[in-house]
Amino acid sequence: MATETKTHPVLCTQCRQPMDSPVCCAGCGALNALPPSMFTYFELFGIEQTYDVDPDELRRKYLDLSRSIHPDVAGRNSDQERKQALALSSGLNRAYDTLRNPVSRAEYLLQFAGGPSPADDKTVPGEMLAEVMMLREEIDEAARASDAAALKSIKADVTSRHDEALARITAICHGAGLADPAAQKELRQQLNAIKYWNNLLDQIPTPVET
Amino acid sequence: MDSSQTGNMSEIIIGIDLGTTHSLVAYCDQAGPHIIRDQNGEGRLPSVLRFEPDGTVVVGWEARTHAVEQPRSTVFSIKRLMGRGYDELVAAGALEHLPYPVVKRGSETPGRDIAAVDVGEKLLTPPEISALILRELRERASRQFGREVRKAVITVPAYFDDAQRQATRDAGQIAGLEVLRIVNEPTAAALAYGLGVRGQLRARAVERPPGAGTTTDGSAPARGRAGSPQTPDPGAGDDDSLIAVYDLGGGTFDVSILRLCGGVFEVLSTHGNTRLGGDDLDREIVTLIYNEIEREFGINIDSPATQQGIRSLAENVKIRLTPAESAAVEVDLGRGRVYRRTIARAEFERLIAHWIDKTLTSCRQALRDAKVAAGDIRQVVLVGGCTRIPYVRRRVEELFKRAPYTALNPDEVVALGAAVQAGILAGLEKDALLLDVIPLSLGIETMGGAMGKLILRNTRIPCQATERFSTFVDGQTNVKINVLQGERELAKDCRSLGEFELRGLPPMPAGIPKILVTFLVDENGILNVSAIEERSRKATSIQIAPTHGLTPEEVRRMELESYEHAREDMTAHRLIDLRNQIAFDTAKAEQMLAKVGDELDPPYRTEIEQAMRELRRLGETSMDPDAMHRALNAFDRKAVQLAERAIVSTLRAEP
Ligand SMILES: [Zn+2]
Repeated sequence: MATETKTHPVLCTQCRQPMDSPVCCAGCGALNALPPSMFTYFELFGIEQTYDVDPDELRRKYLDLSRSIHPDVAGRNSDQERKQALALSSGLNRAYDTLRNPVSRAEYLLQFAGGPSPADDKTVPGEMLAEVMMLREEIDEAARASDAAALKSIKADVTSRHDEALARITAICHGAGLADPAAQKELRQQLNAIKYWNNLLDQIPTPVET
Repeated sequence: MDSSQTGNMSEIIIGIDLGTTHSLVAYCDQAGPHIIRDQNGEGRLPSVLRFEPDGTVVVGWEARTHAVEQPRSTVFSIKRLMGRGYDELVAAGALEHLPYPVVKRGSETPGRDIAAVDVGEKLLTPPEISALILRELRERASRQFGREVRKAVITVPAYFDDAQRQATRDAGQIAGLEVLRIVNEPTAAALAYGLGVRGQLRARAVERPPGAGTTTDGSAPARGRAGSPQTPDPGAGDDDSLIAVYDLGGGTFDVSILRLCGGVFEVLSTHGNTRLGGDDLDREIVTLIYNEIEREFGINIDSPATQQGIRSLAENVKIRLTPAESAAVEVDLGRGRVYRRTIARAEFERLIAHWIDKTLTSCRQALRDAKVAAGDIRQVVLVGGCTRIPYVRRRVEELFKRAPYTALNPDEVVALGAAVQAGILAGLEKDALLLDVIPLSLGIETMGGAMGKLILRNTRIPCQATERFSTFVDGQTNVKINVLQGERELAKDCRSLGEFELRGLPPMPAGIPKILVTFLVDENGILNVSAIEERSRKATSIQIAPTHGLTPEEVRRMELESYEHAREDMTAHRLIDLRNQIAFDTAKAEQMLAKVGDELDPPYRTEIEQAMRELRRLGETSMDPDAMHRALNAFDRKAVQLAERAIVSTLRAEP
């Protein structure tokens, strides 16, 4: 389909000006004919590849680009245009969802650095699995007894463990760099861990708020 | 660019709220969205149809008014059957309360399950019946604009799955409408609400003269909420705020959490129940009355007419209990037996509490999914007639800890929002943009009958996921994929959207072909599947057998049939009109002949008398409207001399 190849910086196929985001030309408004899969998620937004993403800036760029490429705006004239708008906005939506969440952002950076995938390495730090099993039993017991106070305290406990894991993830991403296999291994484990904590949080029934 | 949508430059796009109990149609121009009303100023069209034995269909108020007398031929709440299979509906007990007959439509494809309504001479699927409602609305719009309307935006409950959305789009096509967009009802409501507030802010900014002490900002013409008695919440107009839309309709419930910022309406999450609505609240009263009649008189209500009567009564009680503290009920059971009873508002509230509890559970889930607290919500917009019930308002207020926004007419706000979306598509609303989500996870059946999720619920749309498939046996040329929608772990507990069959794979050893399948959910929340074989980069043909829906061929056939039908109807109408005209013109000629016949030249008199007899005979026997039209014209020309003589005679007689 696309015969153009990727250049640096990306040039608009219409007006040949360098593009801020390869999704859509800020100058002439043309949509890029290249599939979004040819670019990193950071490139799609025209932002620096780093863990420290400014959420407000990301959101502003996301909304601005959506205004130009959403099928309601950009896909009305022909089937070809609509296909392009669908491809671009679904690519942009995925990139946005990945980058705005600190966990999926770390996962994306780890994958980019060539680190282990969740399928490659399923390990978690230290004694965590035993703790998870214990907490799961406590949740079941408290839910059976409809013990709102106990559920609340378990929730607080799991939330603090979740936050600890997130703090570690942030620290590793800020550290010496994800090229280091030891850093990759630790990040993998913490990302696996946070999945367990999230699952546990989902299992805690929310008592009816008063 | 500046051409109004109602001008001749661009094609009109209407916005339609296809509701369980009522449907509305609206359009958008530079001044904003407007409801298109009937001659009586009523915007709502009851989603009720009566099928007469002679094949004619009555849609709207008349069908609704006479539902009690004709319970078996009156179809209502068809939206509850859209995109759902007969077996499913039976399993859910959804057909028990319907007085009209619903059957399973025959199909050659095993596993396919489609419900249809038996309307006498034939079976009609829910999309075909909904199409009759859409056609009525389309004609109302065409009359308003004096030309054919062919394009529409149609709203659906946010919690509608793919099959229900497809069914709605099919209904539009059968009605001769190009459905440009399917929009979620709460999102449409937010659009109408948000533009109203923004319009008001703009109007205020314009109205306030620099340096002037007092302003009249209360009288600013606010779009969508003009003349409302309620002053807007001070936080509601913030240019970046969270709102919740609570939509309790006739048959469905939705809640959506949105972030409004600079004209972008971003849905963060949505939750709901497509089997919970005003119908269910009515049924609580119906059940109460049935049980008490049985206890008191030992009578089982089994006549469809009485059932329908009690249903209407229950709906009426629900409506009366909004302003009143109690409502009196009386049912004449014949032979001097009369059931009498007063239902207090508190009692009604106890009866419906468990339903409202369910809606609040959905609200809490939506808040969780949006990762916001109830207290972060700046405004709660109410949609649907049932949100007029004081108990519903009270419970919603308790949850969100703020009084809901009630200035918008909850019956009209969705149609107005649909018209705004039509305006966006027509380029009239350049500021606004909707970013919506998929309400239910999408996936495929994996080995062992599990649901393998590919796209999670509340993912922004458009979105896509890809999955690789291969073959299990040597030389296999077909691969079947069962596509599912739902949140449950097992495939059997989710809804099957259809079997997608990849065909024509080159025969290779097992596991060698690599087929990349792309699942794309478009801006309408509708799934599109495509596949390529990665080695050959060849697109693979996909055969889709919708489990509960219609194939594109079936929809096209229905569209054609309904078009033919419309032509027949038109011919019938024309014949009746022409016959009336012939009867009128010949009777008039006869009168004139009696008065002035003696004054005419004898040959002319003979000629006109003969022409009159021939035309009469033609009017009574002919089925050819064109021949009748020609004959009528010829006769009228011939009769000019007669008419002139008659006028002269009248003038003579007058002084
Ligand atoms: Zn350009």
